[in-house]
Amino acid sequence: DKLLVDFLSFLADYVPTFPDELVDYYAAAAGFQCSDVGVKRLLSVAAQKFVAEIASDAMQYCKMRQGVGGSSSGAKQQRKMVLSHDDLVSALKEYGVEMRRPEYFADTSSAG
Amino acid sequence: MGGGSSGGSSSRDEFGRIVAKMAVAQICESVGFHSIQASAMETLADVAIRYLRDLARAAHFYSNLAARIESNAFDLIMAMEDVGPAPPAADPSRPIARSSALREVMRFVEYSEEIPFARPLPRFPVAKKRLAAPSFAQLGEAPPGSHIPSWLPALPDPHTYRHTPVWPDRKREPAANRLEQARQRRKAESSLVALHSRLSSTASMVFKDREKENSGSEENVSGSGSGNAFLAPPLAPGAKELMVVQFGGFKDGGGGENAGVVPQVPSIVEAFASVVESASNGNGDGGLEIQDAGSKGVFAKRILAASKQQQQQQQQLLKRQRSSVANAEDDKDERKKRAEQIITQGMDTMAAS
Repeated sequence: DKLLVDFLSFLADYVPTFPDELVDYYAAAAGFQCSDVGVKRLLSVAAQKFVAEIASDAMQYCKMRQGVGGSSSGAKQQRKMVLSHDDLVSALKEYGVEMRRPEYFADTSSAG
Repeated sequence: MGGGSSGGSSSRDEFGRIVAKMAVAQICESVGFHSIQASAMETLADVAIRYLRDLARAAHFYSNLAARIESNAFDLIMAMEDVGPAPPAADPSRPIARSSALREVMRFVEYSEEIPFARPLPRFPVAKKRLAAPSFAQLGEAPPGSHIPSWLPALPDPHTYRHTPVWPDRKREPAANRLEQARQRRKAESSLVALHSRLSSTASMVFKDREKENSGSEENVSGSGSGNAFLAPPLAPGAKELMVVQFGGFKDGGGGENAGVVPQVPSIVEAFASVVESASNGNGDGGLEIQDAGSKGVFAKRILAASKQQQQQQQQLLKRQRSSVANAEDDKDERKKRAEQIITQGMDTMAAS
């Protein structure tokens, strides 16, 4: 329990990536009501961890697609790392989020 | 996945989504990506928002379950366990503070570096302050009935709900109106007629002098050098004909109509010079090719040479004519002066040749 208390007080000083105002807005939309800043920051940090995990998984996919293996060095590493939609979809699949993107759109808004 | 917001609050949501997109991009950058596809960013932002909301909702449920309205840390940790991957051994006797989800988060916070959000944010959504309608007591009015207490908002002013007829404010009588309209119409007509006559005068300059040549003897053709198209000898093959100035309508009715027109600028050379100049402007090689023709070409050459001296003057004059049709009076005076100049010069060159 002490661990938890310490952690919450630590979080009060920590600045998570998701700003407090954003978290407040979405928490209020969900009905979450709390006066403790530490608890809200805990929520924010949990979301940040989630996104970071997805991003790192997508990074793995990206690297797999780019280079053959770990033996490559120099030029390959300097290649631009772009988070593409396909990598993201593969990464999300592991978390149970299934997504399909249409390959092309038959109608554009300009075509009416 | 794309919708996100529940009915009607999409504009408030928009700001939140944009902020979430920024935060997500920062996280991706920290992971090591250089750039991110737009659709991927939107997807990831959507996922993050959903996760936030789900966590908050689950925590709220847990707190409600415990008959509380305000959530606390334990509710949140239980929600995290629900949402996250299942712990290896779900042991209900284990104290909540030792939950694996919490431990993972703590580890994450410990090892990852702090990434503060890039911009300062206001509290949102911003509640707009609405002006309340003043009450009876505030306005100092007495409510119209004893059953209405004075702290209620006042009744609206009668002009907001009662429809009163509006009479148009007629300052003048209808007869005066009609007179005014007729006067304006007459003014418009006169200005139009003036414009018409001015345009026709420039055209008539050309044709009137042509008529003069026609009515005069044929010897004038060779002597004056104005080159009446109908009386001139036929062109040699390969030569182009002089282009006649095109002014609408007057070409056909040249004969009878212009007889009555008041001669404004009785100049032979000037008229011809204008034609030649327009020919040389409109039909670039016209002047040159005429030089290849026979006797007519000789005249044209001379006139061309003479007119080139005054060509710039003529151009200026034409420009002025085109631009300021309204200043007809000034133009006429200037034209008269110029015409006299040109006549004298033209006569000199004629005499010389």
